[in-house]
Amino acid sequence: MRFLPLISCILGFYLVSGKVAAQPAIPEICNNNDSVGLYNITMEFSKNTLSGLLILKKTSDSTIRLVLNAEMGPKLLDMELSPKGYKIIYAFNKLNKKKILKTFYEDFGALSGILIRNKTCVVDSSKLSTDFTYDIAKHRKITYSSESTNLKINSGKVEDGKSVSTIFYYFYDPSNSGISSMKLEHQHFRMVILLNKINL
Amino acid sequence: MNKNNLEDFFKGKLSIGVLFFMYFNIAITIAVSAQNYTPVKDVAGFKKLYATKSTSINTLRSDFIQEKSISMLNNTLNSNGSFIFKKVNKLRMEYAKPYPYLFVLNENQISIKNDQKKSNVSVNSNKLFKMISQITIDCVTGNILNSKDFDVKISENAQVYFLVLKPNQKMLKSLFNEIDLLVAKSDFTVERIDLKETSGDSTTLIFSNKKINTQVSDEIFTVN
Repeated sequence: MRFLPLISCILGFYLVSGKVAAQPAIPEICNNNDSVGLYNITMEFSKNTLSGLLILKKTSDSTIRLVLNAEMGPKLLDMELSPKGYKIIYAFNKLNKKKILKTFYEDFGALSGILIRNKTCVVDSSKLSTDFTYDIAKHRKITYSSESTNLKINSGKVEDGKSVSTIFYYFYDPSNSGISSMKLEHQHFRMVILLNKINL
Repeated sequence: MNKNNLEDFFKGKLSIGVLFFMYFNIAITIAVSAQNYTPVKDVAGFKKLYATKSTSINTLRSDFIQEKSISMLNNTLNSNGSFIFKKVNKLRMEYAKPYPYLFVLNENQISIKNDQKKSNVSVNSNKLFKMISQITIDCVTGNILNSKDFDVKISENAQVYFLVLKPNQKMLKSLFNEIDLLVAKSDFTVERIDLKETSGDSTTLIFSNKKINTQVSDEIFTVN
């Protein structure tokens, strides 16, 4: 019993700033009822812009299937994301390039939380927001930030070494507290992804 | 990230959008409905008639339903909207449901607008765009049946012609197994387009309430 205050102090420290077992509430980007999320996607790269339909389907606790369709036509990309990597089910030949696919994997892996599955985070509540930081590779980490008391995630960033490579934001539907839209911006080249949820 | 790779991707994808205008223009130059088809015996006669009829279509307005069948989903994704074509190379497809989406081709300019963004793309931004633009023009002028990019099989019943287009051009071939058109014999406008993808998915467009050669202002092909 005499160690109880000490244990409480240690636990308290870890809950405020340190490694915790509990995970932050990474937004569910697929619907809870049918495990499918439909999004209108707009991608801007350099001076080019395109839009289409993005379908995300949770296929298991640790895998998400991603399908990208042209608005008025064919499927361009079908891939499965997991914490270990990605598997291509179909890719239009112009898109079937390792660097493009890797960018898709990292972007949607960060947005969906797939990249941090089963990883431990470091919590920092010393600022206005609460930050949950995960090491995902050597010199590479993802931080999810919450500005609210309920630890709902509002934004995130991916860091390579000491520079931020990607930042992303989550916007919630006030009527049901689910995701209404997301925005992801690359910092080392001009690429912005906007996702608006489609409610059928 | 390799910039060239991404640019190639975007140009490629945008050009796919143009691809569809081609099919919609095919829709304008032909017409539909079908079952129990027999091969058209006088292919040359059909081609001539097709070119003649399509030449007479200066504008076309219609409603459309789009059914997208994706293997990953249990249900088809259905949308609808309005379709407007004006010679020589103007097209406006406005999706109303389930969400607003506007796609406009105005000569050499493509405009896309949704609730997030409006963007403009030049059709002439790469060789692929030029090629597809040419195909689009061929469709409008009735030359699509002479296109080297497709092998065409034509059959018919009492109401419609059934055209099966098998792509033999590399880009088209990588996307589609075949494109099926149902063309109404009454006015040579397309009633249905089936885009059968190499991935196994498909997109079907069904046109209705067609109005030929009504007044269509050029202004509706400018997106603000």
